[in-house]
Amino acid sequence: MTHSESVIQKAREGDVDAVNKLVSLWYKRIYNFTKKYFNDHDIAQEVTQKTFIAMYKNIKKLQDDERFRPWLYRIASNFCHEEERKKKRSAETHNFDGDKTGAVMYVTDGDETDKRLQISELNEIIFSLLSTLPPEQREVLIMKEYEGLKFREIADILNESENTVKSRLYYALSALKKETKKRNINKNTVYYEA
Amino acid sequence: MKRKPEEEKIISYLYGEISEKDRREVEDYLKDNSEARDEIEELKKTRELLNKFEDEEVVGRPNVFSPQHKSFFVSKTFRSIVSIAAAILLLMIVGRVTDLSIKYGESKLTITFGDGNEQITEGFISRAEVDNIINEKISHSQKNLEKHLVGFENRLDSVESGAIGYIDNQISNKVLVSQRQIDSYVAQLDRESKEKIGNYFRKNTLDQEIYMQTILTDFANYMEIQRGQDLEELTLYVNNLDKKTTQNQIETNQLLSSIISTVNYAQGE
Repeated sequence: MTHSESVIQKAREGDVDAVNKLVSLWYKRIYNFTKKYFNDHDIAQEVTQKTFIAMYKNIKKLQDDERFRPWLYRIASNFCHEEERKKKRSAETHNFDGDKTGAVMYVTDGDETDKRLQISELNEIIFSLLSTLPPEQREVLIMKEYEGLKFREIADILNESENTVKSRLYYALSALKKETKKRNINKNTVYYEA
Repeated sequence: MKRKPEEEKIISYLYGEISEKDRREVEDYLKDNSEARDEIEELKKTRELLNKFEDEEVVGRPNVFSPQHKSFFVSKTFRSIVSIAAAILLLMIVGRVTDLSIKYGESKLTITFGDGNEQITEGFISRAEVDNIINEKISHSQKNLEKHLVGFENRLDSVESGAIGYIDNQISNKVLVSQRQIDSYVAQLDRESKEKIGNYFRKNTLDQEIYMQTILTDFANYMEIQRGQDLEELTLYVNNLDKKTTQNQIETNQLLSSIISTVNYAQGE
């Protein structure tokens, strides 16, 4: 993802066209980041919109244009955490004994099922694998594997040390490795299913 | 047997974000450890699987922020042009309704309304007449100004003298009043002091009298008690003396009786 720093500069100066340009450049990335995190289109869309509204409101505070990318992911990450807490509270309020493997994410309504039919089976498998991870490991894995952020940037976004980030990623990959073995997901089955 | 590298180093190796030294350490370990090689391979395969994911296209992305383009029809330029046009149009309508006619010719400016029967004509006047009018007005103004100045100076003088008199009067009154007040205050102080001193001496004398009376009474009581005690002691002493005398007398009698009996016994033998 590349864009001229002048767009950020203009956005910082209150140019709404520049802000919309940033939205169009980054919307897909942030949406897919949140979608992988929650495996829920509606929540992902809501969190994405909140992220860009917060970006619009706070971009004047951004001091270094080069730090725009980690700054934007930090906003998205914070909204993901907030949404995660809401989900937990909601589950506790309804005394819902959710499946710790994340199977709760697959309980969807009819519309959601229709949307899912348009997504490839492979994506569904990966969504299901990601949803087995604890949120803090899932988040690091998405940032590193899909968003291509450097360890230093992830550490900065999450306000953690680089070693903590690497450790989380190690456990996330190891857990996914075990899960794929358990489900007998390999290259052949994936290609078959894909 | 080499020590297994930390998880952080393995991950750094897997993602290629590793220093040369750490990379050699991991590779040396992997060279001698097939189990670790298998683990790395499986982690790589897991990564490959994850990378098969295709990002979803976002359909119907909402336009989050509407650019605030100002329409030409609400811009300042448009408003100015419309205002000027409206003013010109209004003048034209008024002119049309009132049959306004403005003519200039024959050293005259002619403004007419209606059919032109009623004419307002303004003839021109010469430069000398204009100069005269101006000079007259200036001299008139100067006279007025001088008159006002004289009046103002007079008023100022009268106000000044009045003010000075008033201030002197006030000052002298204030001084007199102050002197009288001071005398009265000193006299009052004197009276109060005398009264206080008299009261003090009277009270002091009374206190001393009471004190002396108390002392005398106490001394008389003391002397009375002392006299009683002395009398008791004297009485006791006399009684003791009396007792002793009686006893001595008894003893003497006994002694005498003993002597008499001894003598009688000796005479009998």
